[in-house]
Amino acid sequence: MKRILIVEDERDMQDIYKDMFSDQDNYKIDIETGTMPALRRLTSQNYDLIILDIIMEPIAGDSFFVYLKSDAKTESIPVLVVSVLGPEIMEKLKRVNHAHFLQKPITKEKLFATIDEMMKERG
Amino acid sequence: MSGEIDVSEYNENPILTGTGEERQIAWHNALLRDDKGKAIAAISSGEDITERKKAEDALRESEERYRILFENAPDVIYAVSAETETINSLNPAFEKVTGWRREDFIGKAFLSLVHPDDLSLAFDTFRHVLKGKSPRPYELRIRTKSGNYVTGEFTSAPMIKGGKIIGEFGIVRDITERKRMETELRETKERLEYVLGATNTNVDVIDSDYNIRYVDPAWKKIYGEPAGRKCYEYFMGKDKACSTCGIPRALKTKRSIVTEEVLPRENNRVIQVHTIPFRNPDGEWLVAEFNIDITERKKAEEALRRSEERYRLSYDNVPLHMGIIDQSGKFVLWNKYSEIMLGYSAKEAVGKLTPSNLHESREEAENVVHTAAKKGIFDGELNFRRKNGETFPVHLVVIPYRNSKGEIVNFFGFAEDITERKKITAMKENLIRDVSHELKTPMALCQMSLDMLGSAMNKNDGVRLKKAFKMAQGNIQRFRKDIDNILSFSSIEQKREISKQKASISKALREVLRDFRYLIDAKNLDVKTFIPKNADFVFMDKYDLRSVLSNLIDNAVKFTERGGIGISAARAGTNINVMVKDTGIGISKKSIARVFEKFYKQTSSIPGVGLGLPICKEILERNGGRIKVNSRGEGKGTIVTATLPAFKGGKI
Repeated sequence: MKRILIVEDERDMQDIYKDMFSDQDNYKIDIETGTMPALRRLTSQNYDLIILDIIMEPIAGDSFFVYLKSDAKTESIPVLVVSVLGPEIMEKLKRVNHAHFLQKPITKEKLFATIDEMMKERG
Repeated sequence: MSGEIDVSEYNENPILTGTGEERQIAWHNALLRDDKGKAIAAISSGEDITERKKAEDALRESEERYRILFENAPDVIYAVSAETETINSLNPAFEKVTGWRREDFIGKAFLSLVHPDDLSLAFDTFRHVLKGKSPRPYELRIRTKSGNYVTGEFTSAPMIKGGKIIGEFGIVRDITERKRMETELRETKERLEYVLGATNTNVDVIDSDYNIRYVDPAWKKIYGEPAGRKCYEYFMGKDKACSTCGIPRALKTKRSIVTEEVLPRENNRVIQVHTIPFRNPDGEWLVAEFNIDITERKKAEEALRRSEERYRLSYDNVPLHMGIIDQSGKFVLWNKYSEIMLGYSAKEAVGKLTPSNLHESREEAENVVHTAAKKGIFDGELNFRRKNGETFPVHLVVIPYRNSKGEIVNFFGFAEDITERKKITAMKENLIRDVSHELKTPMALCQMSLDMLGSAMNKNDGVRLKKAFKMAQGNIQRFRKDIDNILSFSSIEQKREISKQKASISKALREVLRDFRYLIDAKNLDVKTFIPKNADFVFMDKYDLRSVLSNLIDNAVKFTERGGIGISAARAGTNINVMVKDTGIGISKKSIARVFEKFYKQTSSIPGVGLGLPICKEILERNGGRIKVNSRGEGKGTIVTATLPAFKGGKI
């Protein structure tokens, strides 16, 4: 079973993730509303993948992403950026590997296809 | 006895009297003869003729003197007979003065020589003289042979013989030249005074002891007769010479001195005094003062100074840096705002700073000047550095100024601080980003909740179905709200015409709450309303009222996760206070001052474009209302009070 950390501040979006993952037995999810609690959680627990929103307070998702990639403990964790913003947000994050992107709205099919692909990449 | 006297001898000779006085005696000697003719005696008588002799001599001398005078006098001497009114005698001067020969007029009527206009005067004085009186000298014009007239000054007296007036006798002096000179002098003086008067120039002549020797009539009219007063007494009412007086200097240097004086007795008229030293025919040094009125010039100068001042004020007050550099590359002009913008005072900048001090690099400064010189203008945005080292964005325009030869002598620079504009531009960019994000988020959520709805329907999962449906409803409402706000914001910006009327708060509130039903239900919030009858009707635009309530309730719902929302109205004099109270996240002290800033969001994760409260404020203000936001801090809920004008007409 793979552990996934979801960092998403939108309540409805959190509910949608919960709904999407409700019938997935391969994945166990934890949801954090903000980047700060997510960082705290990452210091004590290990995750196979992080699903990250961008527009958040007080630390936006893109800054959080850069932080993750600069810390030895977290740099290897693949990150899936899911945002309402367009793919141009990824330009900033290009130089770092292991980042995938999906623009909201997402479908369940697309989400799991991407997650599966990322898991394969990692081996 | 008969006999006869034979007068034989007469002589005159002097004798000496006993007192030593010489008397003149006339001697008559005669022989007394008898009948036969024989001298029998000599008779001699002596007569004292001293007095007679003296009188005879005097007469002779007098006649001689008169003759000499008569013959040689430069003045005409004449006599006119009383009986015939004709000229008895004329001296040679007559010929010189009139050009006529004496013979031409001796025996002729004297009136024939007189100018027709002077005839009555001539006749009157003649009658006067014949009455034995001597008139005062008078003037008659006498016809000359050339046809002109000469002006004669007549001094005449009656001519008496044997106690009887036999005519008029007089002396005529030719005063034509004197008259001409007098006239010329008068005319010159009049002309001068006219010119001086017309130019408001006054003339006076003053001696070394400040005594007034002459003052022109215009001044006499104002100041009266000088009457022995000194110039400083006469003009200034002072008891000693003015400190600025040019007279001593003019007399000392023998050169003209120009000073300025103010005349207190002439409404503080300003004059420029040209003090010119000169020597009068007696060799005395005096000064002539030409006092030119310069009030108008002063006024013009003052107006010019004022306009320069205004110009300076205007260029000092424009919120732009204005600087001019000369060929040395240093600033020669530095307006007041430059100090505010750049921190350097004019004193610190002029003659000291160069544009390099303001630009981020010397190369940039040189490039700006180079571009301006080459293309005739530099127009661009770059950063300036303040005295304290801070940099800030400016819009800089630099224009070269060329002299008549086409050489660049100055560069004019104008710089506008565009920090605010940049901020606004950034804000607009944020707005577009935020708006698109804010619109995309509910859209995406709607899409996803409908997907969820579809999946739940397929599986006939009632709980998921209900959840998905609520989510879709809530997000559609949120989408609609965002669009409403963007539209009403642009309508405020466009200053939509509003129509104030009686509007019911309770009615508007019911409509608004219906729109928010799904969002309220989703959060399971408790909503209480209390609108008493006396606080229901306001006087404002109906759409504006709805818009305000909608924004306030949107905020309350958005920022409240648990608890409830209370909406109440209360009458406060001519106003109605509408209070929207929630148990939500509250507002930090830091944020509370910024809640009316457009696009300000305390929590960016909470949906919305950051226009709700700014819109409320603008709407309320244009309807004569106001808005207040209170919060006891983060997590402690918020109270928003909107004050609206109550409807006055009818029963309330």
